[in-house]
Amino acid sequence: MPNEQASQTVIASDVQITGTLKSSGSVRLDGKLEGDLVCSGDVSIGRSAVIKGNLQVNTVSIEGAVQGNITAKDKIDMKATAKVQGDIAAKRLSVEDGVTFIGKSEVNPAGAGAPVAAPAAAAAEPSPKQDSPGFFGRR
Amino acid sequence: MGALRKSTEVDGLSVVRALRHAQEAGHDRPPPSAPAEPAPPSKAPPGEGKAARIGRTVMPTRHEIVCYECGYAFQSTGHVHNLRCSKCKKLLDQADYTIDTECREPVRTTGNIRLAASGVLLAGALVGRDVTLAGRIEGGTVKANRRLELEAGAVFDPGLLSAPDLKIGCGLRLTLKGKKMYRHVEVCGELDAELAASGVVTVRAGGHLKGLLLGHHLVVEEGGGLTARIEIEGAKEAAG
Repeated sequence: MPNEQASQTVIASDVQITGTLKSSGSVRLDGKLEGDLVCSGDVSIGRSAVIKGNLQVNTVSIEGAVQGNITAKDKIDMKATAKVQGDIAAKRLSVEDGVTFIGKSEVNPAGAGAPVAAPAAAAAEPSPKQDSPGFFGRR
Repeated sequence: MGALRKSTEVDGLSVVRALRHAQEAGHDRPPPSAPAEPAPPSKAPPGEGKAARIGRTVMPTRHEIVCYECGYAFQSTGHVHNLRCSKCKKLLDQADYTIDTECREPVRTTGNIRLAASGVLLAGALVGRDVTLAGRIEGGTVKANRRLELEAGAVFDPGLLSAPDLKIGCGLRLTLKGKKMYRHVEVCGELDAELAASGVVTVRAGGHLKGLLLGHHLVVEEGGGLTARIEIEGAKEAAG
């Protein structure tokens, strides 16, 4: 009998898990996880949580430490006590002051559409005038 | 320099001084020949006199001033009419300027400078506290002693600009070559650069930061984009 309301899994601060954690609901993690976390719902990583592994989630709110890559379908929210070491990718991102973050970020809320460039932007970089001598250059 | 317009400002300390001077000179009391006017209800307890009282002390504003002659940085309290550098004793201009036509002369002030969209800097140096660029810079240099704000529509060579703080206005797309060091950076448009920031880097909603970022403080509002290599260590981590 399918659950109409997704349940929330809570991992307390004294729990330590080694292995891959998969869930279709939401997860609140306050303990330690050595492994990947795959969740199609929302994930909340508490202040005392330590994760060594990759995260694949819908949205994630981070207050603890994550050592691994984070991929979110929707949003990554880093709170002031978050420590993230790894690459992140999401549609939306918010970062509070105080976050420690080392890695690459691929967050582009505008999507494929590039922002409207002001006409002066092309002139902001002075390009040296060049003749176009052709493929073989000048003789 | 017909293209420049001065702005005026009065701070609270000047108002307090003027009021006290008026009290001492007796200007606050009506002349004896004038008919007595009904006194407005006074909050002062009875028997203390009808003279105006200053019940609150206005704390003067402190400004950090950078002398455009010798480069010395000092603090000034309130609004000083004849501001002199504490080191070289040169008389400093404190006016704010707005340039909305062609300008060939240097403009140096401890106030703010705005190059309007219709303004063109053909030669000379712009030196001010906060400098806002919305026009064209075809010659000369721009130095902001506090913040440089670049608005959409501005035309400039980034190599001619210098400032500790940088703000990229909405709609502006800017690419900076080489590693750049700033104190505070605020991105409302699009900035592609290798940045090292000692203060706070803020990406506003609608802004987008690309490239490389090294620093201690990062704030990204929801709706802000970040496509970069990031190394942000909190100040506490960096210290210990």
